[in-house]
Amino acid sequence: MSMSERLDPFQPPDSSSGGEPGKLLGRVVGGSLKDGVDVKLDYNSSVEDIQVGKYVVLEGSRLKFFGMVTDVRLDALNPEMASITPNVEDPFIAEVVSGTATYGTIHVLPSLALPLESIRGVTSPEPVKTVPAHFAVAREATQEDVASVFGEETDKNFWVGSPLDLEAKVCINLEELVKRSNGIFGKSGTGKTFLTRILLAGIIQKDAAVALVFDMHNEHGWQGTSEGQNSRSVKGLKQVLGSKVALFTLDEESSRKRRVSTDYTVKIGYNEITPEDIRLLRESLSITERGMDAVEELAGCYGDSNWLAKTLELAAAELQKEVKEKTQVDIHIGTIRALKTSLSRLKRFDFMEEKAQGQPVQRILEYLGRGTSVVLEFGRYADDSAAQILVANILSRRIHERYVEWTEKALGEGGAPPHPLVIVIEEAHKFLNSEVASQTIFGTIAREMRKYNVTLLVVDQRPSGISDEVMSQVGTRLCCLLDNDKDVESVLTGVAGRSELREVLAHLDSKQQALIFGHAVPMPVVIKVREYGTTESYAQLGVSSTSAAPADYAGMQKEMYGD
Amino acid sequence: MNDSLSSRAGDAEAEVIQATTISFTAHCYELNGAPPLGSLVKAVSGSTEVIAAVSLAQTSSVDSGRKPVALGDGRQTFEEIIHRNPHLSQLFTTEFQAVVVGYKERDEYVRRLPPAPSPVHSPVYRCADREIADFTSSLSFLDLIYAASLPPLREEMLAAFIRMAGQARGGDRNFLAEAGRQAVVLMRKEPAQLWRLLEMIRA
Repeated sequence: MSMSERLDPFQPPDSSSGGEPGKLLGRVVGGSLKDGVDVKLDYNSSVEDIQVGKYVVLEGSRLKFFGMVTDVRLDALNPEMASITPNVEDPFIAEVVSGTATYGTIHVLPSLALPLESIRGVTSPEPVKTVPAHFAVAREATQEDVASVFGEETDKNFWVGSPLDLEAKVCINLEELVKRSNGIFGKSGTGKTFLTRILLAGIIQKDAAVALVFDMHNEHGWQGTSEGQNSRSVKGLKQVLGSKVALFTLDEESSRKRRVSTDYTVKIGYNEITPEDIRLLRESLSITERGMDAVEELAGCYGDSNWLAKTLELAAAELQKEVKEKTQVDIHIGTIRALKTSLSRLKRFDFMEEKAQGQPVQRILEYLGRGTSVVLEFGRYADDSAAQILVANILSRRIHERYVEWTEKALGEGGAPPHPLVIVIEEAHKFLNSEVASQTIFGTIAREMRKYNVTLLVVDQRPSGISDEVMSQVGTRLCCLLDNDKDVESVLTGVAGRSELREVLAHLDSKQQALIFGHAVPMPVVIKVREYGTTESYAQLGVSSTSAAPADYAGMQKEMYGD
Repeated sequence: MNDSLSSRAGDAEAEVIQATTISFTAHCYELNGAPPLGSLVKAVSGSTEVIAAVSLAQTSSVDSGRKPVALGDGRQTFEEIIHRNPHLSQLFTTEFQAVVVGYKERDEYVRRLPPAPSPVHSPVYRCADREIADFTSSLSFLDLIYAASLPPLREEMLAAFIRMAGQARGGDRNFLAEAGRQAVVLMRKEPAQLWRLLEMIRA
């Protein structure tokens, strides 16, 4: 046989072959289940083409493994080779040396495995219990690989973004997602709000749950801005999802100034504030421990619904006298005075009234019961944590109470349980830090998980500020770039492959990239978050005007309010 | 080199005078007529061809007891000296050693050591370009050259062989790169020598 008759045996393998398998990257050369495997890159693959977080497939002899690149390293066949430098200016020598004498090694954390024989059958990938053998081939994942792991976009699967360097859809199982509390983390300016908006749009659009959004910074309801060099305004949930979203406000004036038409203005009465609410505000109102004792005594004396109005209305001496008469407890007059000063700061909140006229909780529940999500804008209270803690806590507690009643009734009498509710809180560490997590309703919700069909979506830039107990209950975590060690540590607590994921997390782009791991995704994955802000994206995320609430809402409403 | 090599491929150039499993020594029919370093030769006996790469050539006195002396006075060229002393070709011999890299049996190339060395007096031919190209379509034998050649000569020998094969294959850059990669693995413990080799074979 002459040379011309056969294929050139020295032709490098075709790297751009489209179609079936992805590009060959290299072969497995070592590793462990605990730490992940090392893949020596083939001479056709450059380390510079491989980013941490890339999605890789390892083809063993019987199993196909899915994993993520967690580290990239430079190696040499012999350490001296790196110190006695060859003439790499010459392209030929550079070509020969790279991938042989000196080569790249990527570290891959396999998460899922699929038996090869039934790859087109019904078997779905399962968590790995072993690693691929030596010299198993590593390839770039293809669209089909991504689809086989994350599923196709369906009624329950919501497309959140695509893997790095690949046009494929990574989907989150919304049904699983809303069963537990979830978290969106990332330092400021990394796209948390953007990701939250997309996720909420998905949850609402696909009716996975109704959402109650405490929109502290007025970004989700009507209109938000996209961050970046050419920041522009993007449509909020109300504009995209229309009747599926109701807009409530705490500050009518601010909403009017921003030309946002709202559905309801929330007012909170003094009678609705309990000593527990004040305990959460202790720090922001600077109330001492003794002051808190006084609050308890006052509440004992005047009742939970009257004590605040009385405290603000009566003089210190009078209060002291009345408490002493009723409960035989002598509160120091100075304590009462200090307390009165602290509590009087509540008066400056325009949304507070002596006695609430409307029933904000009732109204919110009505909307939620109809399958309409509620976004509560905070208007000018965007930077006032006392207002935020107070309002979010009061409303959530009442709503949670109703959901508990409802669920228990459903369990006892066999009715329909309420549709899942997702409560969205930003700057969550204010509500869930280890000092207050045990006292706020949010701590309770996070711990209860799906028991009463109410879960949290916490959005925070300082996850280390959130209590460990709450973090351990967070089912799915969507993390944008985090670079504070404490925050990274706290986000990764209790996650397999923590040290590998830490590298991935630290190297995310500062914009629109997120690492997702936890309950609602089969394996950790880094995504480019899908687009939001174009006409096309609005159309994809919106709902047609004719779409009605799902049928069970009618039943739900009956359950809640009677006929 | 190519042209002369092909045109003379028909005639034997030397004869095996000493053989081991890993190498043989051949006596050239022509004084100073050894094939170039690294070139591929075959020692033919019956239907078997033992393929070897030239690793060392040497011209010396036929009688090891007689020491050659200078013949010119500084003004003659080499050709003039030879012309005036035609008997020299009877007093000196040129021999070369070749490292065995494989053999051909029943029209198939086998790239490992033959079961037996070439018989003494087997004629030795240079391989033609087509034969070189066929034999080097796999480079699994390169370590035989590496193992049988000694350090100062090693990278020179390997480089000469790779260059020769590359030329026979029409300067195939992919071949040279692949051979370079194999050399990297073989010479991983001697980086300085390896880089020298790569300089020598660079396309």
